[in-house]
Amino acid sequence: MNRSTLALLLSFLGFFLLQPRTSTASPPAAVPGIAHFSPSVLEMLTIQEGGRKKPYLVFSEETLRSLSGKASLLLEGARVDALPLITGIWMDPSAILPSWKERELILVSNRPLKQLLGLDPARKLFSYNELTASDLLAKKIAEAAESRRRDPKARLVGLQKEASDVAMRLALLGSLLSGDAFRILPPASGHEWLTAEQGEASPILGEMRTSWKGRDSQQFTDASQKLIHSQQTLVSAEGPPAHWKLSLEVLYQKSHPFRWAWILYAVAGIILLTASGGWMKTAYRAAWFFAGCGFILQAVGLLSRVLIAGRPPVTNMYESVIWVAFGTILFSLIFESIYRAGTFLLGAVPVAVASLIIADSQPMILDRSIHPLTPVLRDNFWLTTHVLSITLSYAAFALALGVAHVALGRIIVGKKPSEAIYHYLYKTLQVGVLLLATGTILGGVWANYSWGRFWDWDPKETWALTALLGYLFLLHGRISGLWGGFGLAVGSVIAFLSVLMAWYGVNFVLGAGLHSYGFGTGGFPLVAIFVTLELLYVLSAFLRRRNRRVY
Amino acid sequence: MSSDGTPITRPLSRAGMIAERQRRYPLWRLIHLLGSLKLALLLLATIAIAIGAATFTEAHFDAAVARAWIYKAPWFIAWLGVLCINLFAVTLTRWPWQKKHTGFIITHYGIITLLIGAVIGSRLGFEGNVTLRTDGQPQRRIITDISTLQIESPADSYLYLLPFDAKLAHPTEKHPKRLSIPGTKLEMVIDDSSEHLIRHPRLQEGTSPNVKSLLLDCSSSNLNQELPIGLGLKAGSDPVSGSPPAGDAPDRYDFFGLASITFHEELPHHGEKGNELLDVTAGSPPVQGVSLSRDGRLVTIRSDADLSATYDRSEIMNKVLALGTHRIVVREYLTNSTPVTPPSIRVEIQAHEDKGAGVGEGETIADSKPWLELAPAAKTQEYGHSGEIAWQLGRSGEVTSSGILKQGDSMPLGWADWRLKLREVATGKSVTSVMEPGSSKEQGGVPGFHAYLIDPSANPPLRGDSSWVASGEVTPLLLGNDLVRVGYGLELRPIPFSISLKDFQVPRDEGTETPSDFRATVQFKNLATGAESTGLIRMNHPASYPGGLIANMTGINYKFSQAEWNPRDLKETTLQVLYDPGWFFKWTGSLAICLGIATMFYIKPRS
Repeated sequence: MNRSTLALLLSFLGFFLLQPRTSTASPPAAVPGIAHFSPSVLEMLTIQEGGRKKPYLVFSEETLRSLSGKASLLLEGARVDALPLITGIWMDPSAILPSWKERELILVSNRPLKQLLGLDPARKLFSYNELTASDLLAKKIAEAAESRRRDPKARLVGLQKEASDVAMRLALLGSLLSGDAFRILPPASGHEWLTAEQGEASPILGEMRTSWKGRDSQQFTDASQKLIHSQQTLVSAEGPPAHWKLSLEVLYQKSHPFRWAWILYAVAGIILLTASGGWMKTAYRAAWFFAGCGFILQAVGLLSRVLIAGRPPVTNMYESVIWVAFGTILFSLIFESIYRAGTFLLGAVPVAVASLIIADSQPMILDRSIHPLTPVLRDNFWLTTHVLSITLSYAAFALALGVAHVALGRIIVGKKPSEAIYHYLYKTLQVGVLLLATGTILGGVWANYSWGRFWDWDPKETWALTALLGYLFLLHGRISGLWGGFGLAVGSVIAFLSVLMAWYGVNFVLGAGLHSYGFGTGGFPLVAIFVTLELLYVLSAFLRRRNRRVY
Repeated sequence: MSSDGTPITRPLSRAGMIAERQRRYPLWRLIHLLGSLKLALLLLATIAIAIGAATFTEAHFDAAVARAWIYKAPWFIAWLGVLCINLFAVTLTRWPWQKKHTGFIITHYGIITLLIGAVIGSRLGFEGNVTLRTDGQPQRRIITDISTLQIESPADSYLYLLPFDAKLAHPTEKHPKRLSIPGTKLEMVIDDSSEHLIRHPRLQEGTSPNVKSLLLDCSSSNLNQELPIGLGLKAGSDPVSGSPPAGDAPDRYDFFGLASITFHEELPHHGEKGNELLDVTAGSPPVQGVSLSRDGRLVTIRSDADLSATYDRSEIMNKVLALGTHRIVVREYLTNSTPVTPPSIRVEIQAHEDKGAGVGEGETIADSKPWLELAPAAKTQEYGHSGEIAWQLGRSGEVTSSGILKQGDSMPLGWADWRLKLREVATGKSVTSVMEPGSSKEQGGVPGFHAYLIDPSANPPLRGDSSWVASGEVTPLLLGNDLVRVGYGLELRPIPFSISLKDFQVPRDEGTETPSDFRATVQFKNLATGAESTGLIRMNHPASYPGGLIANMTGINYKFSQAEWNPRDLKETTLQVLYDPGWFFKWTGSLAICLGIATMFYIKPRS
């Protein structure tokens, strides 16, 4: 094993260490009320929130994530998961010593905002009372509200955006404390579900609350089941979703298929990297096995999302990152089954692993919750054809990036990449170009129907075209003999930056144009580091090639 | 190259033939030059860089600037023309074509076809929008996004149209734009532009000495907003003239539809027995028989006789409901921004005999908003000199406070943090308004430019008064006896049919206010034949007129897609209108590109 392999191996290990813990130990007794119960009896309770009905387990995890940006919180030195914590708020909103409003539950992550409000910049979580006491925050929130009032479509930026995020978290805690957030009973008429009190389930809720406060675990379980039962009997025409759907969502939420997928991919990658000599054949088979398992797991995870949401899994940044990782592995497996080279898999694994880790570890930037779609996206035909082909082209280009890395990596470690690698690269780029051209054009046709025109130089359209032109430039340059395989590899890395711009930059950096449903914030330092590293990688390959004259 | 098994001599002779024809014919040399890969690379790189830069221009300035500098700039269009030539020439360089060229030819011609479609679309087609109301008139004109200048020549009274965008033209005092007025020796000089022209009230020496007027400044520091207001009293009682003088300002100002400011000869008298106002909080026990459900949606009224009725709150706002001997009106719904505080309603309990006569049950009373009433504080003759004004603030027939305000002084209005400043009171001056660029604190505003007339032929050259020409208005410019009327705004295009909105629905996501779709039912009427047809416009599903397969495939068709809606007024929707005769070329070209690339990459010709 040479030095570069070791370095790569170490970085893989690093990923393992950075990985957040999948589960926590059983809740310790320190937190009053919460410790004695297994609120999991409630996890299948249906709750209406954010325009759809979901299991209570999903609701609680999403709610805590929006509130504090975390999956679990430390309360009195003990780690408490979302489900018991949110249930604790619901069951005992008026808890004292300390009250929920005094607990540090609300995320304020933006440093300038903390400075403005005179909050400790080292802290991330603050209490409701602490924040509502700030006149400055109230003023900022009022400013944000005013900007919204003036132009409901305006995109809030800077402190206003941060303040409005904090305001939403405050309001969320408010609605949890008032019980208004827990809409669990179908109404006699209309679409808006009712709280237990409104839906005349007050006695059951009262029973649950009494047993919670009295720490009677058995009675709480009984009352919870009564609540679930009364929900089921109340089901009208517009009742909760089918039981299998709820179970699937709970299973999906608990099982973290994408996390397991990247672990399996990483294992496959490590096997490929470390294998040598007589073990090569066995190692290649083992890598196939692990990558295949990861792929199946990821496919199942994506399929679950499709079944839960009823649409293709490419409607926000989180889903597209997962999908691109999936596509990269998909293409690599297809190519591997044709060429049996190992190169594709070796190129795809780092890309997929890195994407899935980012998706898993950055919930505030990449929102994993399933939300109803903005009307223009509610067309599964166009969503499937246009968005899937565009994102699959990103996947192909990501694979090309990976294969180019393998080629450039060999140059950096002083070996001559085989002509076959460059041929593989060319094949991968072809897939990307065909899919990107098709996807961009399909986007035009869709726009012709939804927005009324084929092409209008919207930034997303424009950057898709820029990326396409970039790759066409790369391929035409190769045809004309201006550059060979090495140029193709360098170009695959550089051109991927235009894909990154079309994919991430337009939505998160430019923030202009009609594809506003994909807009988001954050992650810029991460992307900047990625771009810098890529450029350094290319540069070092250049320098090695010139100094060594390897070929 | 010859993996398809063609004899090895043929490609050689073919290459030789291609080299030979270049040597012998200058035209072939030119074709090979124009179709060269180097030119293709240059085109690809420059276009990619240019449009990439344009997106940053758009983020930095706006879409119109990016359009003017790059996407629609002559050099860019010309460069796309060169691209077409390159694409065409490169297919000729492969002549005579072989089977293996199929994908290559289809792709390259596909791009040319697509670009031809784009040219046809932009030359012969147009894009615009139309705003329709369910209670509005059928529309026969479409608003395009092209800014136009309309000049009415004093020579022949003809209307001359020319495209002109003040923002993009960016005229300055140093670099003004000069336009000659057709049929005259006059020129219009445009020396400034603004995106933020606002009508400001001014006092002007009037004809009638009895006109009373005042200028107010309302401001809110929380909202960082300013609002100048001019009010004038109609001198209807003027015994001499008998008719109201010109330039008379209204005596009433509508404050964002939330409150009103009125100017009276003297402060109106409000009965001492103001109707009783009650606040009823959601989930609390009934107050005088009125209660509000916890979620604030239902209002229950229980009368003395133990009759009770429950209403949907949103449906009964400001309507008179009978309750035994009293009548009640739900005036306001108060939801705090903090969801922790429950919502409440403000209920007015009216004595039956007081207002019963005019207002029946279910009728809406318009005036439930807070108001400010103003009146001269002194007798008519001294009004202008006193510099004082009497005021009273109130709500729903009840005066909450009153007093006297001096010129230059200000006071809080009690409407959020709005303050009122009395800028000027005057007699004998009427209120007019002037278009000017607004301050950063003023809301709204329209684009426009600053212009004046000159007569360069006169000796010495003459110059008229300057004026701001605002979008959507006709502004007269004067020089001596010559009057030039200048209109500025987006160009309107007539369509050969009319469109009206029959119904507009916005279904929501369950339990939220988020729209899940927009459904507009429209009616088209052929102006020539009178034939009517209806169409349903949904998101992703436009309606077309005249419609039908041929029209839809060729794009010789008016296509209406959902564009904008007004969350505060569901009777209104804005539709995007597209007439694109280039559509056939666009989609066939698109199809060719995709099929061509696939053929090129994946279909190997059989030998």
